[in-house]
Amino acid sequence: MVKFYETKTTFDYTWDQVAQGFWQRYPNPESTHVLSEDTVYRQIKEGKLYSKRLLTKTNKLPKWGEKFISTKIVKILEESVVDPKNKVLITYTKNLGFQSIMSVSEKVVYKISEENPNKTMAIRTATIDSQVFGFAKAIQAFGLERFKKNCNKAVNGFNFVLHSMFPHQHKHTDSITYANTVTFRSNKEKLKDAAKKATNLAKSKTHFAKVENI
Amino acid sequence: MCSINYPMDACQSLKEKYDTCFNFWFAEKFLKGDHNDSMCSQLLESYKECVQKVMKEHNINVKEIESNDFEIEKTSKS
Repeated sequence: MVKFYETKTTFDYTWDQVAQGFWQRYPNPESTHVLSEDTVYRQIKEGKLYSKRLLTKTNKLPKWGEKFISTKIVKILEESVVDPKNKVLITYTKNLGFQSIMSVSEKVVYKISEENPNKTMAIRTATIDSQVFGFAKAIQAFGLERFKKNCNKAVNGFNFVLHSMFPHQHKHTDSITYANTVTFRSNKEKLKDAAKKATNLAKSKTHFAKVENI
Repeated sequence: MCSINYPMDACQSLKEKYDTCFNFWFAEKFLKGDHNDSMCSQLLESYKECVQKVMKEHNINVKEIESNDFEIEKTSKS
């Protein structure tokens, strides 16, 4: 009972730029749900950089979802391997905890676009699984829909960051991103405030995670 | 399992120092073929120590996080 999803995205930036931007993805205007990101492991092995980061995100659920998971915060483990020689960046993320209810894992391979060496291709594969008897299908479908939505957000957020890091080579990104750049710069503090508020709210609401046994 | 809120705030300044160092090192050294990572290692150690302490205080299971296992290696055939 596993749902599978694959999507390809092309970034209008070189692989080196995308690899640099990868570490600086947060915060961005699309990532207000990301509360923290911390490096917990980093090592060079055979010329490749291995890292693990722990992310915490707010987890908005529909009412019926709260039946299964009462916590508002999820922890995500992000693994990555950067191969600078072959110019390949592979990332693998999965949620920690609640895996039997809904586990979402995502693998993204970033490599030089075959059509244009100045662009980067990202191949994203997601696996969504649930083992809740009687609800697995509904949970999976929900997970898949949300994943698709978040996918666009992730790409937009990443592009936003790339554009602010490497503005000179920016050619034809949509006007929305431009508008956002201005707003985001002036609103950066507000954004931080909002994140803090969300955290405090979560703090007051979060308690020990209750998982109902069915 | 205890849920966490925003505990890593405690490590924020260490994180910022390390991230700044790392981003420079990654762009200017690592991607250019220099694989000596001693430049930021001290900063990484203090930062990681802080994060681990906070994780323990919040009962976050660090086993999976700190292990050398990489799921990527098991799944990546592409």
